[in-house]
Amino acid sequence: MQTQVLGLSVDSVPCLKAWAESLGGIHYPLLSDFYPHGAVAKKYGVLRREGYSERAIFVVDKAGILRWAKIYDLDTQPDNDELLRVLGEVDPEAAAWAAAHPLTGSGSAPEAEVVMYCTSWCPACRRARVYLEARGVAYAEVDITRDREAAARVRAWADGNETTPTFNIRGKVIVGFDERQLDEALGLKTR
Amino acid sequence: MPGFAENPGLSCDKLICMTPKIGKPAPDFTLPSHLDRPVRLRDLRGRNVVLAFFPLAWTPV
Repeated sequence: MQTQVLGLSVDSVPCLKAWAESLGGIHYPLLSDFYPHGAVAKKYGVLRREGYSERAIFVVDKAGILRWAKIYDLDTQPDNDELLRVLGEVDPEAAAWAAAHPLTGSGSAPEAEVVMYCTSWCPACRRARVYLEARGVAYAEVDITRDREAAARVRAWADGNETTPTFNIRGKVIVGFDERQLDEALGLKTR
Repeated sequence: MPGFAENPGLSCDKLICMTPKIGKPAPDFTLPSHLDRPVRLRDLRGRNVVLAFFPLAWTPV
């Protein structure tokens, strides 16, 4: 949970979605640096004259400080082991955690009465956590970027999108953070 | 930063000046994502972030 991977390219969002789908779903965000074209790649000095970016990896630490950068040959696959080693140097604790928590499916849906499917980076999930905690609602949280089967459940509920947060409240599914629907499903008074 | 200078494909004029420096704050950005919600780098403070730039979709990653 302490390391977030973000993919970035100059492709449009629909293109990235179609591509992710063709690969069977990609569970970390693929960011579209499409408009203004390549602006973020330019900020990081990796926009090529041809209009697309280098294949490059940057590691940013918990304080937002850039700690490591490397540009790869366009047709070379970045080396996972090297990346893990770098993460280990930047944050030994996080690397140990990642090694102990491989990306896998949980096998079955959580048993809790209120389940929130979310990601660690989604702002609406943060608002939903505040909402639930303010009302003293006990809930289980599932990070769909780490649980492929949970992500598939969300896709089945949300028209094929991995929309977060998505709730399953005693069998009733609510897609998105909608206070009125949540109040109702939780049996809370609607103001 | 090593790696930039010897790369012939890299825009090597003003962009080099904008290349972020190791040990300095990573440039912030907000971008739309294929998972429907925009992501802001700054919002990820408190966690390590791996930024993986790739040239184009539909090419080998």
